[in-house]
Amino acid sequence: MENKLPDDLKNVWQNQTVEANQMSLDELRRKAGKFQKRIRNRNLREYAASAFAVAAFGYYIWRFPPLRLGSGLMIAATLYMVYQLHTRGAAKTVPAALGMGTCRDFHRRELEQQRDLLRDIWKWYLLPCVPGLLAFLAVPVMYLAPGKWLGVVPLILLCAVFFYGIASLNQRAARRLQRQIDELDTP
Amino acid sequence: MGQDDLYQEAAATYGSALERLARAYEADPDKRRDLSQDIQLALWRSFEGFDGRCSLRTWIYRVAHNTATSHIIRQRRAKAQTMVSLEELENLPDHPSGGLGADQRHSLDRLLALIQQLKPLDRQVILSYLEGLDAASIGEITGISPGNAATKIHRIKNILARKFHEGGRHGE
Repeated sequence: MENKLPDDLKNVWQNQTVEANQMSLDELRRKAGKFQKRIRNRNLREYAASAFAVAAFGYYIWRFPPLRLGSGLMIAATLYMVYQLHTRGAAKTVPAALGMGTCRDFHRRELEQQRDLLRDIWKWYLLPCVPGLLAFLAVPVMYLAPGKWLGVVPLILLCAVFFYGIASLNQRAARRLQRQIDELDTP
Repeated sequence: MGQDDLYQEAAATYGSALERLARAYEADPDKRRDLSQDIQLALWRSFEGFDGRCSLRTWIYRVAHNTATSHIIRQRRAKAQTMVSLEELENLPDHPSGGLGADQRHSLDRLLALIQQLKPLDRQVILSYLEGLDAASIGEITGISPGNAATKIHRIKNILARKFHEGGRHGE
């Protein structure tokens, strides 16, 4: 019986009852349209949020002159992040790529994309905000309490700890993905 | 052959195999239906770029496994599930239950439970083996060498034989 088991299991597997779930060509076209619409809406939401941030900082520039430098830098950071999101999102898989390469290559590419996104988060998401944030923090010292720079140090430290925490968590997740990539290359 | 014709041929020839594949990647019936539809959509969209560099069967299985793998990567992020390799599966304790002869339905459930624990590459190999593909075809689909595929198949056979035989003894 032991020797026959795998073949018997093959029969059990292949003869199992499965529910028919086949979509017609019309249904496929409808679903493909919905899929494209979902992607378009998601992109629109991201751009709308960025436009709102740019408008808010633009208002600061116009209304509060001391915040001009910080607001300008934050607008630049927002535009840079939108550009990064756009280019990284554009690298998404084209439909035919699912069949062109082997499963191992595809899986590796997926993991590498996620790893790079997480590993570089400080470069494209955290670091661009730092100059604007520092410029904002400098304003109270320059205008309300001239010369009292030490007062702003705890806030800077708090921001640094927060940013470091986010970057570390993402680095840890990136290392976990790297281990999975390494496993794929192990015979 | 155009995109629609290729899709219809794929659905007619491999429809049941694709449903079984979706079942091996997703236990929840509602999510499974979604996954099955995602696989069909991915197949249809992919056929626009089918250039005949590999066989239709290889293309279909690659698209299906790749779509399902992306699905479980997303699910894992949400549920923090752990997956094991074939080597780790060999060392997992067996749960007492009936053997293959006892009840086919029960055997199928146990088989699915085993497969759904596996990491993507090992899952692709075991599913291809159960669908009756040889080592060379499995290598072409997954990207491992035929020799490596043959070794994995040998290991899979031993694991299945041992797990189900032991299960049978427990159930006696």
